[in-house]
Amino acid sequence: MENDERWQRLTDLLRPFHARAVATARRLAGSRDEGDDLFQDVLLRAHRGLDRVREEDRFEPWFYAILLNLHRSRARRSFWRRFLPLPEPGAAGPLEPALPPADDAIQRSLRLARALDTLPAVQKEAIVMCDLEGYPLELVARVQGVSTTAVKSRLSRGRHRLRRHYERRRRIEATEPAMRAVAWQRGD
Amino acid sequence: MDTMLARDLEALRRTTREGMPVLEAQVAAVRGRGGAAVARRRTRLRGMALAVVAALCLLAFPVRYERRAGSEVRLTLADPEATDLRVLAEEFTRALGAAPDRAAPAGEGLWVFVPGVDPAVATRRAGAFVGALAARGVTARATVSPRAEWSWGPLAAQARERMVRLRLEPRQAPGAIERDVRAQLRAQGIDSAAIVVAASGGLTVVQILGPQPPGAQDGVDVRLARTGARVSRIRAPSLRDRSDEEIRLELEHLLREHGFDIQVEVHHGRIVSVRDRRRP
Repeated sequence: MENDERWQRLTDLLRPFHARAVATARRLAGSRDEGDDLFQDVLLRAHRGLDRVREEDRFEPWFYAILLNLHRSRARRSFWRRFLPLPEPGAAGPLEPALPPADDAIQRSLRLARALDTLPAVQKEAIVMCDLEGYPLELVARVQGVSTTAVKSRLSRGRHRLRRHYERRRRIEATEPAMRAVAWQRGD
Repeated sequence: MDTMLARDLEALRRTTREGMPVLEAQVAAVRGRGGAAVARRRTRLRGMALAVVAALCLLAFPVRYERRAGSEVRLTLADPEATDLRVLAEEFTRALGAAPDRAAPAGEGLWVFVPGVDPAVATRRAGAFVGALAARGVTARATVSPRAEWSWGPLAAQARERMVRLRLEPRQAPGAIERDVRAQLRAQGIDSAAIVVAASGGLTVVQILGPQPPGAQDGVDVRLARTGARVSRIRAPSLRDRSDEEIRLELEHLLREHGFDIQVEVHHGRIVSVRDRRRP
């Protein structure tokens, strides 16, 4: 198949679920920019291997499998970033702001995105695809290469961890004002 | 808690749908960068493949190279008549760590080939022997020169062979270290090198600048051919200045090392006949 034809076929096959796929990439990557960059890499890889996809109904799980694989390999690479030296206190840099009470959509989504980042990759993928994008269990099972029972188990464990993360967060937020008051009384 | 989580899920669902790119625009952007990315990846892969091939060549494929076979030591006596050369040869070969049949009378003393021994080591051993002779009232002088021969092996082996090895004694004074290093370099074929030794606070720094590569050595190439075997070429340096007996011994040793049991007859520095001892 010629290059142009292949791009055209990829565009046609992707059109029905393009928005969901981009959204999934953004949620897996944790930010809009990194998600869009990840999605472009997936497009490139899908274009190279498109000739292997003969039946159109196999395209969607195949495309998502590429997305998950690339996301995992990026996550492995970013694993080493945590060993990079931390910026000095007071140094200019993108410091993470303290999370204010979640009273609007952006703060709520930031809170959940951070909670999702604490999950193992397979649990995060299952929650993003099922709970956020509403994909059927069967498709997620095909993409992850496991049974639907395994996906259910991943979902259950992921949700449990998310709840625990939220509870811990709430306890910290509840004790922070009291700690600040104690520190103020001490004159710190 | 579940309500909070559900509301956050809904919020994240909504915010990530904002600013959704157009599919055609994304495809156009990827098509633009695709060629460059593929070319970059191919270049990287080609570089890696070349590196692997080069490493294999270094480790596996044999090449022909000149290797150090050992050291030749010449002992010159001030008064050769006053010494029993046969006894001296035994003592000298023992001191050098060579077999007794490696010694031959040469000029006003002895000549010994010590196979596999670094010239620096041979220099030290010969120096100690000369010192012991002096204590017995025998005045002598020892000179050591390296001997090279052609061999086959991987490049890594060649590099190891060509490595200049130096043994340093840091407790010595800087002047003594410099003399010692100069002697070791000379023994390994490096005549002119600037050596700077500096010692301070228990730390000794030895700097060796611009050693000259060893010049082409005088010598003869002996080509050995045997039916069904590879042709070998042995380089025996400095045969020119040796006695007929030295040349005979030297050549017979070399030939024996390459699997030839041949009797050589030398007259006035030339090989006049060779005879295979295995054949009648």
